[in-house]
Amino acid sequence: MNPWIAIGALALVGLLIPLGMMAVSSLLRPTVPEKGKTATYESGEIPTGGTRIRFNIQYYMVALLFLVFDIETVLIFPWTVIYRRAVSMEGVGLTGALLPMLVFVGILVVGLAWAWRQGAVQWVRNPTESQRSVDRQ
Amino acid sequence: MFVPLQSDPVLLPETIGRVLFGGEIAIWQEAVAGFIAAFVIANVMLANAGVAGPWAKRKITAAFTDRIAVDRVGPAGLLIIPAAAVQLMAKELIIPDGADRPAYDIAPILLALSALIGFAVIPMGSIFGINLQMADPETGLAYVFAVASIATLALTMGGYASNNKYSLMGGLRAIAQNIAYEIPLIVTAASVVIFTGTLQTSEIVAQQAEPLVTIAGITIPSWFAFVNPFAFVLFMVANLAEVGRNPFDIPEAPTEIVAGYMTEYSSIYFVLFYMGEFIHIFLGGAIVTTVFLGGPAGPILPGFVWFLVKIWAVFLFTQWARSAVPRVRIDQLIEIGWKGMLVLSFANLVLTAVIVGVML
Repeated sequence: MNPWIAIGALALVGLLIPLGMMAVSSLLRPTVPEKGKTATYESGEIPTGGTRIRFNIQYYMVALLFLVFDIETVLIFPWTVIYRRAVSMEGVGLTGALLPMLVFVGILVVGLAWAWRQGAVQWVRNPTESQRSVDRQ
Repeated sequence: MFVPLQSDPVLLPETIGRVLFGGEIAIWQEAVAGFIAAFVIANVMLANAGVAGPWAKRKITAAFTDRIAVDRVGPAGLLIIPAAAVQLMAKELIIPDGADRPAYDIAPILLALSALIGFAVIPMGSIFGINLQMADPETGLAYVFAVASIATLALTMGGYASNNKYSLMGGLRAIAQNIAYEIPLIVTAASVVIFTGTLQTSEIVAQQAEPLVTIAGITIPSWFAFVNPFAFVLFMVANLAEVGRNPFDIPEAPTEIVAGYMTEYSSIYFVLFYMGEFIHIFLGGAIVTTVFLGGPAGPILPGFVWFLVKIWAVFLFTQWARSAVPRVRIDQLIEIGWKGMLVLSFANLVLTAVIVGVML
């Protein structure tokens, strides 16, 4: 029996349950449109400015770093699956199976160390806050 | 040292298919049987995660803070969550001005879906001689991590589409947290795959049934939590961050950014978000159970009961952490993730590979 048919069936059920709940809710719930109701929540104040604003560049930096390491995990998984078989195999042995991956992980760790020293994983402090700490000294 | 692949146990859709249609099963009959099986599994998990989970959460938090919590609706207040769900379903759905419409609507569906479909490959043991596992593909472990991480997308979508600044903050924090802790999570799981040599979940569970040591007549099975406790601790911490519970609950930090990505969600959409998160916690528990705690194995009681006991143990751990551990700041979160967990998980992977390779 093909496992992906069962997984597809579960995906279908996983879609139908939320959609069914939404359908039931649309039958039950009232709709009373008023003007002030749909304003976005800003702690009770009248919302100021848009939401499509500039946000901290750090989120982008860690996402870049993630991309590299995520692809790396994809490459590590097949190696872990065959590792034990490869070690006990003739002509591959421990060094043949382990050394290339050590070099590979080593290169990535060097990359992480570089990003670390560049400050990519160091959250930038609020400039006004650091100003205050300078004043205090 | 290799255990040969066992003769495959009959999976749940096949059992249902045989009962309904007899021996030879056509492709549409497979689909029907799969659908029924999926319906059963999804509802068991919903009852577990959507009804008992939030109730237990409230009771546990109350016990920590010396209160009684819910006790009016149903026995010991157990029916409070269905009552609250019906109540919320009957509330008006308020969609904020300038919401990004398709994304705003898709996010709650996607969150519930991503958490539910992960259960397809989890070996849930058997009860009354029926094996409850839905499917057993060879790439099981990779599949479950792949679908569980779709939840990040849903959180970010919900946060961005709400047109609310708190939601935007929550969505950004959710993505920063999940990507920082996903690498340690997967690399730690990879260190277990070095032992098993397969990604098939049933095979990972079968290999943990072998005895590790016998102390005073009690045989300790070779659960990977005992074989590699360091990996187990790393995985539990990364799992806490992945499901967004204390100390890593900054995406929805209620005292800072209202409710994070959920701020603008009301009515049924809120129910779906809340339910999706709880199913996700239980999916995390199911992954921990499968990879580290021997799956549904256990003495005397049926496998499914042991499976429930183990996922509830992990759930109780997250609730304990929620009550007992303070929240970290965003800069601490990033530093713990990228400087601590990532380095430790790679050290664990390399050490495991070396030790396994030398001992073989």
